[in-house]
Amino acid sequence: MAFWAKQFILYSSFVVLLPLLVAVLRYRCLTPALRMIGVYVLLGTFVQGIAAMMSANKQNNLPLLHLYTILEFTCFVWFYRLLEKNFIKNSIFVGLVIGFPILAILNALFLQSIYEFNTYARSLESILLIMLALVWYYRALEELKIQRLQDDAVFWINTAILLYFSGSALLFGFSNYTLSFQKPLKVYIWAFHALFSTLLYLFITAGLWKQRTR
Amino acid sequence: METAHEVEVFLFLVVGMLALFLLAGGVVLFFFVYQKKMLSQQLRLSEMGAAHREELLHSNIEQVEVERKRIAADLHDEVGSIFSTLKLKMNQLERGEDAEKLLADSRDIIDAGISSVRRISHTITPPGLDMFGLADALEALCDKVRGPQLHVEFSCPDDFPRLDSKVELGLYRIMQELFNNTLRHAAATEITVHLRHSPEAVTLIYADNGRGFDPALLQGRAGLGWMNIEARISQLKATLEWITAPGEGLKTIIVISG
Repeated sequence: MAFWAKQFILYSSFVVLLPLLVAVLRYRCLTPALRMIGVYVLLGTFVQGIAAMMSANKQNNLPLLHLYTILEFTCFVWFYRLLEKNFIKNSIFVGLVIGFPILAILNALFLQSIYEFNTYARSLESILLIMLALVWYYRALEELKIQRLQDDAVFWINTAILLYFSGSALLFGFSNYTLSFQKPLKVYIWAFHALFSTLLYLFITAGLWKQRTR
Repeated sequence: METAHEVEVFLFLVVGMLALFLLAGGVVLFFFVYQKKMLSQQLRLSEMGAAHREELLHSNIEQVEVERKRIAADLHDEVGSIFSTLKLKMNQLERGEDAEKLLADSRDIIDAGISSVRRISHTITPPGLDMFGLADALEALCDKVRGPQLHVEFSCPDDFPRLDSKVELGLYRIMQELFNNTLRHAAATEITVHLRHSPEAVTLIYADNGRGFDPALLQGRAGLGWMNIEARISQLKATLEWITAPGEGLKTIIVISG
């Protein structure tokens, strides 16, 4: 069982190539917000590649996670900002894209070493992005502009964000604790994360694919 | 081997993660279903609105036809018969009958013709509306409706301004329609009409102490008169409020903003 879970974790990391491929093929059709998602996918591909290499060289790749958290959060907030100017007020947007990185850096400097999981920053990121995703649903219900949800790119991507961060939030909060787990349990728990991550990239792929015209 | 505590934490994490994931999935599902429901409701409302607009358009056309028929009948029955009688008198005059009496009769007939034409023209264009404005025209209309069995009270501030001619005509026609309804159906003994204005709005309040009705009965079964009022209200971009119940009279509040 643990073997298959390990295999799943390994192969699921290649799923990121799927949205990357769609983003490249459909780049011309993508709106600025969706291009930001394309940037996020590219970032994910790089980070996963480097993390895999570091891991292969028996190096601790967690410092990468501290940087990735900041960049991932910025990409998603920027995505929401580019959807509609009114979606995030100027002051809130500036507060988020400046405030969160500062908090994450302070966390890395004073609270959690870069060689361990940044559980505080990651949990805060999850909460903030879940809130933004819920606000998008609320606004969509209020405006009723989208006629067919299943054909709307932003619906797929927003759903991806909500499901991924809701599913993973608890794990992000207890990541350091899982380090002390024995091997099979550690693999199983991270297999769940791999499942949510696979869903995230598949939903993003669907969203980018649904965007037919700019 | 993993300790019991580790397994406990592991299970807590797995159950927690799945619960949060399912909760988020539930939110998405709720959003999906609710959005579809809201959209279909919106579509139904816009279809109802379109049907209502079509109904109003038909009622307008019908109203114009009714008006044309009435004018044609008035011209035929009154003006036509006056000219026929006049022609008869001229023939009699030609045959050398009592000229003085015939001339006197002809004068009376011509006077009747003049007042007939005036009456017909007044029904087309309300008398005094263009020249004296809405307040005076409504007061005159109230005077016309007032009778021994029907007390009509009209109040309006002295400084009531002149309004756009379309607005004045629209409100006048609405008032005519309201009077018609009261006289035909309400068996009222008292009508009050208040005309008010402020920089923001013009308000017309019409109330009678008649039979009243259940407002639900108007839904989809409104007569031509009610539809005519609604068409004019929509044309004036005004708001209309009915306050009525069986046996409790009718109060109508019309507000034109801006």
